[in-house]
Amino acid sequence: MHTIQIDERWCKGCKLCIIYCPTQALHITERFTQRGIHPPELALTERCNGCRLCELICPDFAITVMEEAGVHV
Amino acid sequence: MSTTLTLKTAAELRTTHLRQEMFPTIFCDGCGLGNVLNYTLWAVEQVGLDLDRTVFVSGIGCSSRLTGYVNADGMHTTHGRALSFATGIKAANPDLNVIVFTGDGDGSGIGGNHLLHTIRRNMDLTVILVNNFTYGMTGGQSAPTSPTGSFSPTTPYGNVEHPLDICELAQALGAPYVARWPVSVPSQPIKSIAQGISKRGFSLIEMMAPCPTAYGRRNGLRGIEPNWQWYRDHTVLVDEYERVEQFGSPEERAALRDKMKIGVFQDIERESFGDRWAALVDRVKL
Repeated sequence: MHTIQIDERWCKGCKLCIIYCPTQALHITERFTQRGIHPPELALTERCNGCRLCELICPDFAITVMEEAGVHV
Repeated sequence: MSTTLTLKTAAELRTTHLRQEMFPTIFCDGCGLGNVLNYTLWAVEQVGLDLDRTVFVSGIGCSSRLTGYVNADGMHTTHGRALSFATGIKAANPDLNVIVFTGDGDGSGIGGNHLLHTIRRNMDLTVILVNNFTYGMTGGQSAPTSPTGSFSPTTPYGNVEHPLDICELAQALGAPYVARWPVSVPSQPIKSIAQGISKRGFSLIEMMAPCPTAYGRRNGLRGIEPNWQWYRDHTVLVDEYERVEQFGSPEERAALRDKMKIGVFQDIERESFGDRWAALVDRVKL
């Protein structure tokens, strides 16, 4: 299981993470951030395989992919 | 890819390598410059460079804003003269690692002469030249790298000039490391930049970054996805290019006409300015 943290102060809503996600696990939300854009979020947690491509392709350093600890306990 | 990323998480990279007070970046939506910075920092992390012993130098243009975001010493110099300043830094302090961010207008247009002579001298620099086919910061004028037929405010009926191939120029001058990658693939540029940093001598990594604001919208590419997709459709790996040139059918060869080669073009050893200078100092020492 992976979680994706998005820094909403830095995200510009360019949607590159959504375009390049190989499993289409991300989608755009309806709400607005303080900057006035719709931020992406991890909609389908079970589809995310933790490839971290969104983290690499994000031009604004806004995405962090984290492996959820304690899954094997 | 896993070997690239096991070192740190992106959050750790952000806290150690970036000046957080400078963020968010000034770049437009869909610009590839943020990615260039991202890949460079991963490469710096992979090679294990000490940021306190690294200098980032840049000229003028969108790409030259990148030095301000890195948590290391940097110089934002005059238009086209980034390589001259970098040469001075390296000549005076050979122990420092010097990384230069420059653009196509800055590095090959205004500073084209400096590019020639820095490669000729074989200074031990890593140059990351971001090519977006246009002078993006000043309103999208036609640059030396603009493809023939492309539209811009200075070429409203299409560009009649032939574009400059920076990588072929660098190869002809004998640069030890020459590579070109689009920003839409992450792993290959990271590896190339890491190799370029480790290389003794001049290494040039040309990054093809889309400019949706100044270039794309005037050339039939509206929106972010078509701009990024263009690089997938119009590039071909250099190995594949050579295979088709030798063994391909006429149709396959005709399809290569409007494609740009990507990949590592040159990876050779050549004595750098620093080595020759040190040898000279040893020889003439009293």
